[in-house]
Amino acid sequence: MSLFIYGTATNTGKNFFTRQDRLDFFLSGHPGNIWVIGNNEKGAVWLASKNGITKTKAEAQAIVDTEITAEQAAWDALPDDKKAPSTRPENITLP
Amino acid sequence: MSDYNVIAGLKIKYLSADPPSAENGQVWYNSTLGKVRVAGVQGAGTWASGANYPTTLVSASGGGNISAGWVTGGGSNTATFKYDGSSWTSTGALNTWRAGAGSAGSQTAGLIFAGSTSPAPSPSGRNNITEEFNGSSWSEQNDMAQTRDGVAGCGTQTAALGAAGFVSGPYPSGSTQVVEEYNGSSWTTVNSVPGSSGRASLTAAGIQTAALTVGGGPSNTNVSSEYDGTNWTSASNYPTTAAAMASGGTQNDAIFNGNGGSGTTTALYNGTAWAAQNENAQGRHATGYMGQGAAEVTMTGGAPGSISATEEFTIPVGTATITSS
Repeated sequence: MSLFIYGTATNTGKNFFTRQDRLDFFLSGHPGNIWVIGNNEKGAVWLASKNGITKTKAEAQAIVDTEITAEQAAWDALPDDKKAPSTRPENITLP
Repeated sequence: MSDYNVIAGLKIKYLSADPPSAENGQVWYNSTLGKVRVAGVQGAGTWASGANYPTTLVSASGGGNISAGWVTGGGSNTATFKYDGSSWTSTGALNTWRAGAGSAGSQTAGLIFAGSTSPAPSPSGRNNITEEFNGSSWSEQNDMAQTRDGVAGCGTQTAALGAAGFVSGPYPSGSTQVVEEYNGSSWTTVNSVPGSSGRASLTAAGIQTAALTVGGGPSNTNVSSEYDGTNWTSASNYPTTAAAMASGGTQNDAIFNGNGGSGTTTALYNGTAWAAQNENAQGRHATGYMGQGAAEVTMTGGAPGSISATEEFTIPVGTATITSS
């Protein structure tokens, strides 16, 4: 069994994930509304309760890569004096 | 029955019930229970999602605390929103839009200073403009001496600290270690943040006479420093190199988050050492954050990209009865 579930879900704000959720399962959010969720019963229930759509790891990584590439291009196009204090978006490898 | 006033030499509150949000270490007498009660930390701190900010934003500024704060600026925004722990409410706009500004103070007495306003009003795209917030509107005050952005801020509206930042040239060069103090009226240059180079996008917590600063660039560092209102001394290094983080709390009970990129590192400083806490869900930097007082913080927005997601860090505090046995 894989360690993680991958999916898309829109962060609706308050109580989208709670303190208890964070204690119950691993949760990591990424560009493109990608969420990496600990593969246990509570994690799976959480994704379903958020109307999430399950993705394969490769599908999720592709969505993140597309978002990061676009953000890198946008950052590169900024004038030098507007690049700070944010830094160039880093490539992200999903766990 | 033991007399707490005699034991500890302190007077305590006489309450009919336990307070709903007691602070770590708070002691009171519960007249209903007939017991002396105390609040204490129970377990590690953890993050939860907060209400999304009304717009996406990056390099915003904030003040106040997790249940009564404000966030403004970021990008070319002048909009200001107050946060009550559940929702955002629009309030008076900044007079000068800016990103990467320093900030301090509370929801009813806030402060913002310097930042990037490229291309105006300065050719470098950076400013030294100070504005005060009274809970509903912003008013311009005396300027800082040093024009800059990526500046760290902490303290109150009448006793604030503005430390380091970018002053000239393209990113990431041209950073400074210069520190200024604000007294509610004017700025005074004081001893610089230690280090062999500038400390742009340094992050600060605490008050003017007891501050803690962490990280900063141009080559991100994990250096931490304590300030006593006059001098800087070295503190234990933050667990990772970092810049443009989120922070909250006091010099001896501070929470810091991030690494200047997509990192989710969260660590608590007790005045001596750092202790790892549960990491936040969405890695980010350059957020608007509210963390005055306790070792708690709400951060919103940030990069990569420009997002509106909000996360709140709290450490659970439980209550117990004090006994003499």
